[in-house]
Amino acid sequence: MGHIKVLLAAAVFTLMFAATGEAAEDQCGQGHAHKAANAVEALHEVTEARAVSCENKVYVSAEVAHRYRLQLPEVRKEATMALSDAFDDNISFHFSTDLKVWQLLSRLEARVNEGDITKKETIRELTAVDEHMKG
Amino acid sequence: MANNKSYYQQLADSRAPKRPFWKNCLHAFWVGGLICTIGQAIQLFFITFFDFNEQTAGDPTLAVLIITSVLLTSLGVYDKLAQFAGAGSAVPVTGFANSMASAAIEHRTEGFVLGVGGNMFKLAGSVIVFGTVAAFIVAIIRMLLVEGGIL
Amino acid sequence: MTFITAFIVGGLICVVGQVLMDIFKLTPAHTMASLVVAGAVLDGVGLYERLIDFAGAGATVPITSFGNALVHGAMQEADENGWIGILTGIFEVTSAGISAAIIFSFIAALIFRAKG
Repeated sequence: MGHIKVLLAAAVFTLMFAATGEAAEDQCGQGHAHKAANAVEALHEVTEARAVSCENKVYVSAEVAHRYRLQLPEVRKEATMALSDAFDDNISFHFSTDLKVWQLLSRLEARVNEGDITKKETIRELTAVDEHMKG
Repeated sequence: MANNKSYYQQLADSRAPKRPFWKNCLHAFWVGGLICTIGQAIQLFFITFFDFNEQTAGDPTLAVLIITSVLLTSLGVYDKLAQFAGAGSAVPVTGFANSMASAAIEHRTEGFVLGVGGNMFKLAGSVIVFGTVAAFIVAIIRMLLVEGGIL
Repeated sequence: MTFITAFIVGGLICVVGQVLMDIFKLTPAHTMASLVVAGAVLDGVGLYERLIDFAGAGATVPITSFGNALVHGAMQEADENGWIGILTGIFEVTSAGISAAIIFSFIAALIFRAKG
């Protein structure tokens, strides 16, 4: 009996440990996202920025003040420059001013901040965002 | 052509004497602006509720506008609007669809091949021909500038 | 905000059309052709895309955007496939609109009778 008790205790302990370990890693860290949002919002043409990050990927969208929309290509270039200044080469950032990307990232950012989304789901949502950033 | 006036000729006739120029412009402005605003609303709808982004939402938006225009033309509503709004209803893409639909409907009595097929592009044709030729020239010039390292 | 700029820019393009008809006495067909050529040239110098950024449907709904879309399709294909792309790509972007207009007009001719 003694052996079994020890084994059981060990099993339970391991499971608990594994569970807490998983919980800690179950969400995407948003450190890069905050950094990216701040970098883009620092531009005077940008009124607001949304960003979600996971591991070494950051997805950023910005709302540009309407009077600057005639210079949208330049604003995009500036934002990309600001982001490449903010991040090292090992972090890949994706920037878009598209309304769809803005809507998707706004929703996703809110969910991530509330913490009611798993890492797996976040990655899946970000893949959907990525689809709209091509071309 | 006497009893068989095309939409654009009706438009031209309605233009001729009557209203002062500034009034024509005012009507063209608000009707044209309104059609574009409706287009903007349709585009926003497709982006928000379907899997379209700013680039890809253009096609379904135009399709909806074109269907609506063809339907209104069939019911005789668009031609009434054209008399009132002039360029305001002719310049948007709905006017392009209207010219094709009204030509197709009017010439149906001459048969589907000679009537509908042959006349559909009677007015839209010039838009397509000149648009294509202009686009070709512009694209050639751009390519030359790019290859020459100027752009 | 885009709704307001769409209304104003779209309305102004229509006023340009009205001016061409009333002041320069162009026929509607000449007016439309001029606007399409203007759209193609404006895209050639890189201005039309900015207008779309600013006014949304106010720039994409008027017929001028047809010229813009023709140039755009041609340039896109040309970037990928070289010179031949100008020919193959010219209707790339606009094909949906033209097809829709042909098909629905044909269906309308099947169903409806001419009025008057």
